[in-house]
Amino acid sequence: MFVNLEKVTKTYRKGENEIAAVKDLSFEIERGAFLCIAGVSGSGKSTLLGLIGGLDKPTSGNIIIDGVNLSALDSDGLAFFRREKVGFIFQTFNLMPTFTVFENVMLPLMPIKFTKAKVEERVASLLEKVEMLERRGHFPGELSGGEQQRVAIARALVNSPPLLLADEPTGQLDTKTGERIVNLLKELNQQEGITVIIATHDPKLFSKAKDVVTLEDGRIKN
Amino acid sequence: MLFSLVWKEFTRRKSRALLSMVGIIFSITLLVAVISISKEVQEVARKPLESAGADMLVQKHGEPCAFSIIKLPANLNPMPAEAIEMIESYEDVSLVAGVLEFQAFEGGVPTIVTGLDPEKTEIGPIKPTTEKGACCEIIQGRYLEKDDTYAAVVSESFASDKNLTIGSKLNLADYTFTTVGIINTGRMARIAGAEVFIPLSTAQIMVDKGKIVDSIFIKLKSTGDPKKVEKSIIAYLGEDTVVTTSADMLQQVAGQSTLTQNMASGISIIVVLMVMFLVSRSALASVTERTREIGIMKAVGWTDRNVADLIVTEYILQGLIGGGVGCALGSLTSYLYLMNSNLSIQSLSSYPACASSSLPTELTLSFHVSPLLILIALGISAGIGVLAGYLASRRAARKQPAEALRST
Repeated sequence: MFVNLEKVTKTYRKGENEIAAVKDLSFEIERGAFLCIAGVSGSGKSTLLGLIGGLDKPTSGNIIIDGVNLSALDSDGLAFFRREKVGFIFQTFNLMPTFTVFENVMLPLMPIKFTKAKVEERVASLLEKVEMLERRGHFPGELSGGEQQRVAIARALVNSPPLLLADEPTGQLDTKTGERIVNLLKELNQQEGITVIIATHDPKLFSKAKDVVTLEDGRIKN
Repeated sequence: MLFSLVWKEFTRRKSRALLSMVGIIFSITLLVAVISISKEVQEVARKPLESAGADMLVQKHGEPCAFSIIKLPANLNPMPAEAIEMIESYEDVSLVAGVLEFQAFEGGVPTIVTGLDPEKTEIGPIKPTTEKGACCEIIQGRYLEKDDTYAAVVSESFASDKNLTIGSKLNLADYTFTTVGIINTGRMARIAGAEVFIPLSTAQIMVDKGKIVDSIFIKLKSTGDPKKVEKSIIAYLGEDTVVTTSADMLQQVAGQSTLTQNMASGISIIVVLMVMFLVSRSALASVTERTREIGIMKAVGWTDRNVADLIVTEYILQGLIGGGVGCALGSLTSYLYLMNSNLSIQSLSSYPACASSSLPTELTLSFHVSPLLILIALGISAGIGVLAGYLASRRAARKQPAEALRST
């Protein structure tokens, strides 16, 4: 299995109280899946996505991605894992406001010693793929929501990751633009075999997915 | 790629970068200005004794004597010339020369005259040389010789003012001298500097108070103890004897400029420490402000080290630019101060304002940029940047990417 979760629990401390965002979750996702994690706000979708993507560490349990046990990795190990295996797409796009479109897509490659020509070629080809090449010199503040999300998708793909994690990718977009973004993700899944996991509470997205897992209070409902 | 990213951040967030740099600019400006000025004041305060080839000056200050056509300077009292031989006998002393400075009035205008020992050319107000442009270059004629009596060496400006050439007669009070040499005395402040230099024995005849001098220059041996020598001189010449060393002159001159070495160092250290604290606080605040951006970098695969390198490079760059601007502003401040300062060693030499030539008691401050000081200042600026960047990057490293991305 490509993604394997074994009794994963994530708790947060809020003042005196300990809140469990994800409780004793175990499930597997095969390579090339297009999976929706559904659930209402606060059900633990984003926390689970963060755990699978190595943005956070579980309080207990194991997360094994492509044979790598994330629980055993230190901070640098997790950074290298994210760099090589995962591309993130966020609801609020999370683009660097002072970077141009081109620089934002280049961001994951900056710590890697690639030649300038190679970096520019890779970034340009991805911007072309998401139809944003002509806006390469613009800043995020000058783009629409849909354009910003397309830039975020190009950034997520720049390291050629086998896993794409999208947290409410259409949450801030109108229906038409949202559909265009989801179609783009679907295309990437079908044409390039990238495993796509989307956290969403938008029912329109469920029909696009091969599988839907619903979370409720940090546990799988279905 | 890292440096180009840092540069872009710097140019796009000018106000934040400027805010961090203001402290560095201020501290380095102050540091460079205070140290440059203090160094120049120290340098210039050393010059009068240094140019006389002496380490100490002995004088007796007292009430001005009544007016006569030949009179001692207003604040100098005579000392017995035999003191010279006595001081020469001290084991810590290497060279001693006594001079008799006085004013000779002619038609109501004083001429400043110094009587000196023609054989002592290594120490005293005049060290004759043939070196071009140096003090005291013999421009025409010769210097005083052992057997001279009514021979005079005059300063270039005095000779020009009085139309004197070699062989010209010169009347000083009721005495007539022959001009044997014209020297370039420069504009630098000198102790017992004069318009006319004559043999000491002739000066003693003119003043008519016996074998006296009014200033004694002393050069110590390299191992000589100035305190011990001073104590012996005061024991011999009396409690009203004033012994001046380079350190005393610095205190006097620095007093006028309100800058002492200790004060300069103290101010500089306090300011640098304050700025280190302020810039570090600002760097920490900046990391908090950029938490989300740091979260994005980490989310896309930047390691803690990559983020730290970026932050430290940013602050080193800000430090160096701030330091560079501070060095320029500090040098400008120091230039303006030095060019407009008017320091003097008035108390060591009674040169009257009505004398025909300009006062050689004014200390000429000049502006120099010390490459070492600039290097040190830039090093401190970069050091402030490294410290601030290091503290900020430690805070950034502690942030978990998921937590950082949740921040607004």
